[in-house]
This record gives sequence, C-alpha cells and structure tokens, in this order.
Amino acid sequence: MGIVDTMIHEAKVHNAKKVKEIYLKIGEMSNIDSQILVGAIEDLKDPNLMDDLKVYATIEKNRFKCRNCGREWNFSEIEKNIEKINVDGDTPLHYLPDSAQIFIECPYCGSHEFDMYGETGVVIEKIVLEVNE
Amino acid sequence: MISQKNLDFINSMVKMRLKDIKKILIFASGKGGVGKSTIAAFGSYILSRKYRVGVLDLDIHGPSIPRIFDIKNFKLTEKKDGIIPLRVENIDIMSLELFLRGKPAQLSGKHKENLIKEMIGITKFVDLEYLVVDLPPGTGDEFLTSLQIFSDPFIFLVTIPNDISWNVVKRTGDILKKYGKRFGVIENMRGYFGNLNVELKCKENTFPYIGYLNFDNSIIDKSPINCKNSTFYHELNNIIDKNLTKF
Repeated sequence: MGIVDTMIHEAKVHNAKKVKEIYLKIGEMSNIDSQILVGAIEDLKDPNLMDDLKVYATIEKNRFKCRNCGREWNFSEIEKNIEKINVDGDTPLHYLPDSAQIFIECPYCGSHEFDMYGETGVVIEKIVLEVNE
Repeated sequence: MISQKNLDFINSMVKMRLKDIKKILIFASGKGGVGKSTIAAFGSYILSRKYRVGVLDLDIHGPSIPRIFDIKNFKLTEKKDGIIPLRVENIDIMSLELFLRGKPAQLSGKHKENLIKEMIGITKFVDLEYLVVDLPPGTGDEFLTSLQIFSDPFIFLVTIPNDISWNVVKRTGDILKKYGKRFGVIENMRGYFGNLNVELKCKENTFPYIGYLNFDNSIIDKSPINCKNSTFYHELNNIIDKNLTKF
C-alpha cells in the first residue's frame, strides 16, 4: 500500500527509528471508509518501524461550482446520481477520484465543466517521525 | 521528532506497481486511425503465448482495448491491495473503459496525469514480463505522462504509408529522439493507405524502422484470439520475433 510505503520511505530518508503518527485527509467523494483505511494500514504496517503508530484520518467535504451556469452544489446532493460499478456499491470515484469530471455533471445545467473544492482522494497531510539523536 | 507535510503518495503507488514489471512496451503515434490499438492488442496476444503480459489502455477519451478483445460482460474484483485486472486468455487488461462502460469521457488536461497515475496505482498487475501500454494519438498529457512515469520503455511509433500520417508521426519521433527514448517505427496498412516509402523516410531522419504490416481486412473488428491464422498476425509475430531483444 502506497501510504505504508511512503512512511517507510520517509523514515529511511530521515534516518528515523520510528514512525509515530500519520495524518490523512480523505476526500468525501472517494467514499473511502476512514476506519477501513486505518485498519488496512494497521494490517500492512511494518511491525518494527511502526509498532506504536497512531493513524489520524479526517473526511473532507467536496463542493463544486459550475463554470457554465455558475451555480454551486455539494457532493452529497448528487452522490445518488453516480452509477455504482460493483457489488460493494462503490462508484468509479472511489478508485479514480480524478475522473470526477467524467462521472459528475452540474445538477442545474448538465455541464461537466466545474471547479472542485476539497481533496478528491487520500492525501497524507503529515507524518511524525522519531529520529536517532 | 520531525514531521513531513503534504506527501505525494500516488507517485509511491505508481513506483510500487511498476517496479516488478520487467519490460514496458508503449504503442504511440502522433496520428489517429493508424492502428495503434490493434497492433497493441495483437502484439500483447502474441507475446502472451510465451510470456506473462498485461495491457494498460491509456486512451482516456477513446479506449478501445476492451472492444478489440470483445470484453462484454465483466465484473471488477477488488482485493485489499488493488483491483484485479480483467483476464482474457493469458492477458491482464486494465482500461478506463472498464469504469466508463460506454460513457463519454469529458476530462480536461489537468486531471489526466493524476487519472493515469490513479489507474496504475489501483491495478494489481502480478509478475508481468511485459506491460503493453496503448496511448491515444498525439503528444499531449497521456504521451508526456507516460514518458515521465515509465522508465526505459520501448516505444512503437505507428504510421501508415502516406505523407499526412508521416508528417505528424515524424514530430513524435523527433520528441522521442530529443528525450533519448528507445523507439522503432512500424508501418501499418501497407498497400492500402498510400505508398510512401516509410523505410526511406526513417533513414533520412535516423529513426529505427522495425518493419511493416500489410493491410488485412480479415482482422477488422475481430479479437486477435480469433485471428491467429491471419496475415496480419503472422507478420506482426515475425516483427516481434526479430526485434524482441531490442525491447
């Protein structure tokens, strides 16, 4: 998993003995369950480097503004319009958040030209390391 | 204690997914309609008879690999560490079309680079010896992003034998030469769309010419799986056999 790999990479770069904390921001429209993500990190973490790792994940709301008609909307208003692609009910945005322009349209004029606000996928905001003195 | 902020982990994901793939073959052309995707699909099928092969369709606006392989009813499977590409015969396939399902892809440039990285990042290709990458025509985001993320690929530059196609494909070749990329020109549909001497043009421009494929209407709209006896299949098989060590 890229998040765990990134922690390992950062620990190596900074000659750290432990990764203590990681702060994640999850875009609402990716529909990633923060508890499942934290659980996955726990399962895949390096047992020596990350034995007392604390994972903090927050969900960021997504908002949109149409470039054609100028109106604005929240993700929650249009979520039901996006086609699900598997039995778990995930939308394409769960896997490919940068495809939002393809799968979302302005609920007022139907345009696919809009600006997006808020993180789309998962972003590592901060990693806290314990370094060798 | 030190803390690192705003780390870009999608690039780590891409690196992780690509690190065990032995060879990457990219099919490109400045020009559309020259048969890139058909050659990519047939080429991947030919290679898959001896090697572990994956196909990554990066033609975001016009993905056609699933159509060429006649993929109709499918269900994407997700494991803990990624999406399992669709298996056709012995080939693992990932395409945006598996998400689009016929929907048009309206997407502006700024999102394309990330979308390509996301596609690679989510796909669990396993133990591949060859990853075949099918690009759209042109030298825009998909082309440039591919040059950036795939280390030391071999690029097949596809043209048809007429000046309109060559005039555009030559510019793509100039870019590849400038960046020091390994590539070779394949002439497709010989005997049908003009009679330009592509081999001579390649010599004049110091582009490696790796062979030609005659026009073969028996393969139109057919999966390579059903065309093993076609002229096109045999000619491409010969080109691959002759040049495999260069890839």
